[in-house]
Amino acid sequence: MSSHWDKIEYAEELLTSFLLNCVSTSKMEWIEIERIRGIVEVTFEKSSIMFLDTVLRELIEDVFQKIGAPLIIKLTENLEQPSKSGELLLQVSNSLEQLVEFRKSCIELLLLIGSVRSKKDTALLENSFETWFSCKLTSIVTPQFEEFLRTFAKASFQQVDWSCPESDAEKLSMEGFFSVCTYLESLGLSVLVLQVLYKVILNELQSLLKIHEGNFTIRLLPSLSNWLDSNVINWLRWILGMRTEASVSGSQLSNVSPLPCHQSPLLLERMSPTDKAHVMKDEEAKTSENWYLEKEKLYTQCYLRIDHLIAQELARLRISEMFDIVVDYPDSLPTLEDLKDCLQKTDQKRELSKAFKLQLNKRLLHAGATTSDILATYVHAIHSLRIVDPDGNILSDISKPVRKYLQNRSDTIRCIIYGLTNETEDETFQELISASQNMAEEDEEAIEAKWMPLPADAPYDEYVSGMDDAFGILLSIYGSKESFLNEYRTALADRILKSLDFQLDKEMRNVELLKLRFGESSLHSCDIMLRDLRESRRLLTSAKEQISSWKDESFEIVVCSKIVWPKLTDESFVPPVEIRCALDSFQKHFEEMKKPRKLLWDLSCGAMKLSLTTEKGQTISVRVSPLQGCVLILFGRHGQWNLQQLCEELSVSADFLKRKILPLVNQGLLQELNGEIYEFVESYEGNFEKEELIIEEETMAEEERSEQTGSSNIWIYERYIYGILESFQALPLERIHKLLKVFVINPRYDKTEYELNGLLTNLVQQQKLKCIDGLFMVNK
Amino acid sequence: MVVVKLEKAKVTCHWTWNTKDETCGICQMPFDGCCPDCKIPGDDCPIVWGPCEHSFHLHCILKWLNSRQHCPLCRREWHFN
Repeated sequence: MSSHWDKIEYAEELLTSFLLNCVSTSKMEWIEIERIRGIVEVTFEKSSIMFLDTVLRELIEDVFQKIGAPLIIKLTENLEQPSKSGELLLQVSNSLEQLVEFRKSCIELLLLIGSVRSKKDTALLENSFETWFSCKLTSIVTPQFEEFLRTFAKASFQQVDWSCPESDAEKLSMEGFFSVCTYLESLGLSVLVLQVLYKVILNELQSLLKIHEGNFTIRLLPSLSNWLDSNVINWLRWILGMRTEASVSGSQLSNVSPLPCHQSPLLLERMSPTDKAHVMKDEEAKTSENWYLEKEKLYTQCYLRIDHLIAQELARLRISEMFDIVVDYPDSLPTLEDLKDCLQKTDQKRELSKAFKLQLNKRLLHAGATTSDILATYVHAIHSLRIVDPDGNILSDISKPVRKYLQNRSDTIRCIIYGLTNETEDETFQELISASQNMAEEDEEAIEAKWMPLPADAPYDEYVSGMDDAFGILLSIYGSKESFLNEYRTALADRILKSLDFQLDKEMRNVELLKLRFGESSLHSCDIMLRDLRESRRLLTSAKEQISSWKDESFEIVVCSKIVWPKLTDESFVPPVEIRCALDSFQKHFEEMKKPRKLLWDLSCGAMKLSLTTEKGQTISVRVSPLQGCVLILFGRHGQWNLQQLCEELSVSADFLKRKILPLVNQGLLQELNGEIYEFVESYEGNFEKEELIIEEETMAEEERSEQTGSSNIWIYERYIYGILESFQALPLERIHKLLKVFVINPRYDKTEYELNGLLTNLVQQQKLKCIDGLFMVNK
Repeated sequence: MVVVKLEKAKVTCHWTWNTKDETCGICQMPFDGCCPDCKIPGDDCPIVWGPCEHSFHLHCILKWLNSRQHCPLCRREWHFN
């Protein structure tokens, strides 16, 4: 028994010295080999493979402690206190080379021992060694080591031409770095190398992208792909040892290519000379081919990964700038194309929609942005996202908050219509035209044929199917086309009645276009409004021809078909005699021509342009509402008016008139003296000889609007009041109030007695009722 | 004294039929509008009066007169005034 242990101990000693010898001289004495084989065969013939493994492990561990460990320690120390970088590279390279040698020798030894036993045992021993060795190596991988690699990788990347470095020192350092990489690869640390390489590429990429931050007018992706194909790939090939023949100068490649196991000299030794030559040639070709394939695979992997990296980084940058890109549309088209291509490769759509939503919230959807800005940006976003994501998921996702926000803005529809009819913003209109043409072309069957299932990532709520038409999307903000058309009608009426140079042709074109989209019948009332205008112009021409007294060229009169027009405000007044004459003669003309129709004036609508010449010869041109115009005309008669006199002259209430005069006072045309006396200001300060002073009546405030909607209820009360007064003949105010309270249930009568008084007075003014001694009765 | 010259004025008015009633007794549409068969109110869809001073859209009463010859509201004999 003891002799067996002695044998083992002897064998261990022998193997250790053999290994030590191998590592230090990196050569094997072939005579030794035969002797060791013999001893191993004898000693370990009967022992189990586990036992052999343990023995060998201990043995290698011993040798490693003597040779490998100091190398690693030295390497780490060198890295921690770097001297000159050139020396450091050399030192690291040397240490690594020795480690590679050590590994090689160990494997040789294992093969040698394995050759005595079965093939299976050899593989087992080898595996066990590899695991152990890679554990030992992990201590190399310190942050300093990575940093070291990165520095050189970066330096080599920035080298323009790797095949011929500029100076010898550079050449040396690059060759050194290359061999470091190759050693690391041989040590099984290629993952580490790749990691560092990716980091360097990422850094380079990011600095490249930084240059193009905020520049959306050129496409980046093609130039980046180009960069990948030329710079990055060549560099990678160089580092991964795939240098093409032309660029390889030295014989380094064959020197450092890892020695495959089956090429071990030992195995070859045992073959017959002829066999040997044959196998050598065969094996060599096979190995280099295998090795090449392996590399090719790795290289393809790297290529794909970097390609993905580029797409990802570019997309990330553009996503962070999405808002600016959208604002810049259509100048940012190249960038949008880029982003589209990137998103096809990476999985960042969700990221985009999330980030864009945040940006919108932060930069657009707040009180500081005007509705028209929001709408314009939204339209741009629609266009942009249609390019980036044709499926429309992102669009429908970001639409939700925008639409919700726009719904809370009261002037959204007005802005849409303004954008539609504004001359400068023809783009939207073009959109409308093209969209409506599309709609006309596609009948339902065609749409059905085009049906596609929703994409998998579609949010199943609120998926807007008609997302391919910006105008339609804008319209759908408000849900119904009715509200849009109503608003359009109001806007059109406003323009017809208030603008002094109304462009009939343009508006007719607009209406025709809208008809294409909404159908003939929806725009019927707009049609009639424009027809009214044409008819009025005809009437006016005939009036001028037929009425001899009609000399005044300045009037344009619009006769409305009341039923299709939006409710015209009925704040009537009696104009000064010079205007009244003209109006009366037109009225007479109309009533003759169109018997038995009669004409009623709605003087509150419309506009007047006046030129005021002061005593000093200063001329002021103003545009005002008819009532204000009449007031100014009155001031042409007397320089000073008492409010009461003015009211009598124009037959309006004092409060009402005061409110209307206020803008004139504010603009400095009139001034108010004590006791409600107004005076024309002779020395007007502004210079409006050239420009026109436009005095708007106070725009209809919100409360007034709600009052107007309230007036629809008043119409119902009116019916009840007539009914009550017809059955009771005459009643005082409080009786009517009480009766209304009892009878009017839907909608509930909620007026105060005071408000009812206003309503009744109004009806008396309109001569529908009369009031005698506090009793109201129907005027028959 | 300031001299005021009216350069341009846009004045609005609306027409209405000179009738007592507001709606046509036959079609129940307002006279300011038109009968159900017409599209454009005004000259194209006039109003007519009978001797009883009841008024209807021309098109409405013509249809009515196809079957009988009296006013649909008061049954007096109809002819156009």
